[in-house]
Amino acid sequence: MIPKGKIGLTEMFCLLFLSNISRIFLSFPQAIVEDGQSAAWLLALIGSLGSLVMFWVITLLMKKFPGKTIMEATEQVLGPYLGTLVNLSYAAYFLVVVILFEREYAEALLASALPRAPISVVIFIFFMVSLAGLFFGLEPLARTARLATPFMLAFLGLLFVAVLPQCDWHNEFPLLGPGLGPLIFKGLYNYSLLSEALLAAVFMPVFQGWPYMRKAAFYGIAAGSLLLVALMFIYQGVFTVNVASEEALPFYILSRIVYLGRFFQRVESLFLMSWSIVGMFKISITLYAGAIVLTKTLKLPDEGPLILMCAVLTFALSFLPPDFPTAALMDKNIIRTWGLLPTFGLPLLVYVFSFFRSSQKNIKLLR
Amino acid sequence: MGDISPIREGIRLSIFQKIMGFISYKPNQNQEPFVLKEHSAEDNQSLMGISPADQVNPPPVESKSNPPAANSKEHQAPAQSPDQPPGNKTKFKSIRKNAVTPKRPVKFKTKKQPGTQPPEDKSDQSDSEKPAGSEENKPDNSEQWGYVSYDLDYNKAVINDIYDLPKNKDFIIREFYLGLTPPVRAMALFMEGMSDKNLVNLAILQPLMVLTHLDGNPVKDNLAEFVKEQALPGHEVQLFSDFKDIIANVNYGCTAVFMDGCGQALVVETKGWEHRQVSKPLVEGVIRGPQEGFSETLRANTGLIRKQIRSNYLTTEMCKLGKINQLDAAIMYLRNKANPTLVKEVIKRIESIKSDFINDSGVLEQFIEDHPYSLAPQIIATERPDRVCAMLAQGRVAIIMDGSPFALVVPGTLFEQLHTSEDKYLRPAYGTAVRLIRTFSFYTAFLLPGIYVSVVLFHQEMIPTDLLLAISGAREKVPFPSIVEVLLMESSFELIREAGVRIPGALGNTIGIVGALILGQAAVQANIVSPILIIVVAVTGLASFAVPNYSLQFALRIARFAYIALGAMLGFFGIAFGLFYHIIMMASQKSFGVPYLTPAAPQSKGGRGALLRAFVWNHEFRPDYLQPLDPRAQPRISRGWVKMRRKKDDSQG
Repeated sequence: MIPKGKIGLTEMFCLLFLSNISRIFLSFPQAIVEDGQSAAWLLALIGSLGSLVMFWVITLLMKKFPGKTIMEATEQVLGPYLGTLVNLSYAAYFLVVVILFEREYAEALLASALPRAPISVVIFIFFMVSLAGLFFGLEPLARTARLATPFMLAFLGLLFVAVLPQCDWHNEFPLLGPGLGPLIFKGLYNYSLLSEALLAAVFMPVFQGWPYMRKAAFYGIAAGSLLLVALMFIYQGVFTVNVASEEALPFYILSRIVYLGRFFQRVESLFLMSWSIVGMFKISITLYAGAIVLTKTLKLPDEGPLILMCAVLTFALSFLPPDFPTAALMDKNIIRTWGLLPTFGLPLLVYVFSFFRSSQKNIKLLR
Repeated sequence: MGDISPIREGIRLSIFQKIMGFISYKPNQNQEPFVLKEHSAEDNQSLMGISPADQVNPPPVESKSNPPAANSKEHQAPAQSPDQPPGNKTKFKSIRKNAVTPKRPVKFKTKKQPGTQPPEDKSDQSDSEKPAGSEENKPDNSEQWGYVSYDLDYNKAVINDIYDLPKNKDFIIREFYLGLTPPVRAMALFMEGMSDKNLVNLAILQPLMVLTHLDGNPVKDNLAEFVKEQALPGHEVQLFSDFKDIIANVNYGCTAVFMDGCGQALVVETKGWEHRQVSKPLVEGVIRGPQEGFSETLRANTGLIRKQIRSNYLTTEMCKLGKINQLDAAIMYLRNKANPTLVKEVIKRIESIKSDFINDSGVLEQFIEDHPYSLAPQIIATERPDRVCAMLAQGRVAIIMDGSPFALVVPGTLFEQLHTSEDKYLRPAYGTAVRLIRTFSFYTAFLLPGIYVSVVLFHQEMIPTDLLLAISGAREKVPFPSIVEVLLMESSFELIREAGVRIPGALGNTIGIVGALILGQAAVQANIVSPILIIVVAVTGLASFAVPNYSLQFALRIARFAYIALGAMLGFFGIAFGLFYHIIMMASQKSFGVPYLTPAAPQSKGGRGALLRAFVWNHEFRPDYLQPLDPRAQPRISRGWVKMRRKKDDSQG
């Protein structure tokens, strides 16, 4: 079960931060460039602001139900049937994220470093990673994230500094790209999705209180978003819009062009370590969250067996997409299109309904 | 198969008990009682061939009967020697009758008959339900020997039986007369090799035999009290009446003095045995700082700590370890700093150990650590008193075992194991530089060979072209794949290391150099390995030795092979996977309730200087993760002179 003890603010911040930045290593930045063109960084910024607003809704919901998880709050507000259905949608969202992330990360690894390795081996490694929650639980994962974060930041900082000489700032113009209207619409609709707010709401009991949850998740999301905006700015500066929108793995390509003298060049393998570790965090924590949601929804005493089952399920389903482009397309069509429903729509619904429920309760109490 | 009737069952049981009675132990009531001989000095001589007469007349065979009057209420009744008048024989027989016969632990399984349930054996029940504690560590020979008798001969007989005298040559009984009027027979019992002979001669025998003549005071009613207060100059004299206490002290080098007509024995502290002097630490050497290391003597070690912490709050609790060897272990802590829960936990763990033989703190460490299956050591073992003192001042608890020059300090964290006491003795910049080098060496020790294999097998593109050509050129003649090459060299390195430790003295160094030359130079010339790999293995080896904790060095060296395998299979991705699980495993560990990777993960206050060395005046708080009773180590402004100077400047300005 979710550990009874409390996890520190820094540890949870690091965990949510690493979970948040995992998307920048896949084809997410390429999609942003495709839609935002020369204003890709602005699109990312608008999307990030939108995600902060959505996160705010979840924090308000959690504030109304202190000490409870989002599953308990949902069930309390929507009742046992509808509540269970909504909770299952949260679990399904997490599991779909794991399936697609496992596949995309495996494909990215094959493309960048292990061209001759069978994909089943790489996905099996991610399967092993997804069992980390089963073996160790949330607390060690959060502590490991706390240890790993400085290294990740150092790697990213190094990369940004290393590619700066190749940046051409003229690529940032026109500043507004396709125009402010489309940017705002696409930013809010397609790029404001984030699962960290929902993650924080699932792990609510491990925070020392609602303000801590708000703080950790807010800083985690904000820092991750800032990093995304910076990456977009640099990525766009290094490559022109046309080139940038065609690269499937922008981060890999960016790390590949590092050239600081003859000795420090082609160090993408070095960065591979950092982004594969971030991917491991994302997969293990998301699967753990999915299993926790299912456990709570099905009123089971322990999430251990469910983690194993979910891990096997995601491992098997991640083989379904025939290739990387299909997996990336599924990411866009499924997660980024429908993902807003469990991460924002349903929590908003629960929050709105919670007012009616509480007013009904008050009426009953008055009678 | 019907029910067996109770009568048939009873008959069957009685027959069985009779058969068992024939083969079980019974005291021989008709044999001669104990034959007492003079103290064993003569036996020693006879053994050495000085007195062949004794060989002609060997000492009478000792009685195999039970120790007389064990557990008896009438334990004062004496045993009888052959030179005693025959009138005492009846007395002796009465003792035998009263004596409790020891029983062999033979248990008969009897069926419970309905309605006639026998009373439950309370002793068995209490054994099974007894809470774990120091009772479990009571000596192997912990049978009851009863109490000291008023009869000296009886006491001697008991001691003969306990120590298997005169066969056992380590224990000496010296009989003499107290110089009182009238003279009183007495004997001193001490152990050869454990007791200081000069002390026995000058502080016990001389005062009791000679100096008591000078004392004109009349003997009071209680002879033992009189001798203790007026005749014995020993600094630690205790009175015991239970043989169990006396034997425990004699086994530890004390001398017991028995007197005729006295129901108590005086136990005088005369410990004195050969031991290694306090010398330089062998493993944790420093340049700046104290050069004292622990030795094998417990009291010398506790003294070394007391020498540095002159506080009345420093508490030393003692407990016994090992059922057979009964070694002392000291648990030391500052009772106004250390968390009482931690102290309680340490004592609970140590007292709960049930083992026959624990002879080193390394064994004790394995008994009390939280995660026995983990590679990483969770308890800090150090041979430096100054390091122990610094950690005691933080609120940790130290465990020192007799016979072990390594003290254990709990709880242990990874960062603490990467520190040395010298870090703090050096100025912050130097200390920080040293710690950074050590951090580098920590990672190098287990990652470098794996990274090398990964780069050579999977990520050749990241090597600059010139270097790549050089490596390829060097590897061209090598017939093995890189992984075989690396495993070969790493195994050889481990071989040299192990051989260097085992081969005595100067040879060890020679083997190290010869091994390195042979395996390095010759292996390269023979095209078995490439020169770059020699550099990799050498740097890795050096890095592993730069890690200050001996146990951690082992952990890193073993982990290195796992990373080589992962690197060979999946390159950097494999190493990332290894790191992910390795760190999670360590993050899930706790040492006595303290997370292993704190103060980094989880982050905690007061952990300044975990990675870098903070200024000494910045260490204002004790580590928060220890939850000390007094969190503040020094005031916010610890350098009082700065404050004073500022005030002075203000007043002048």
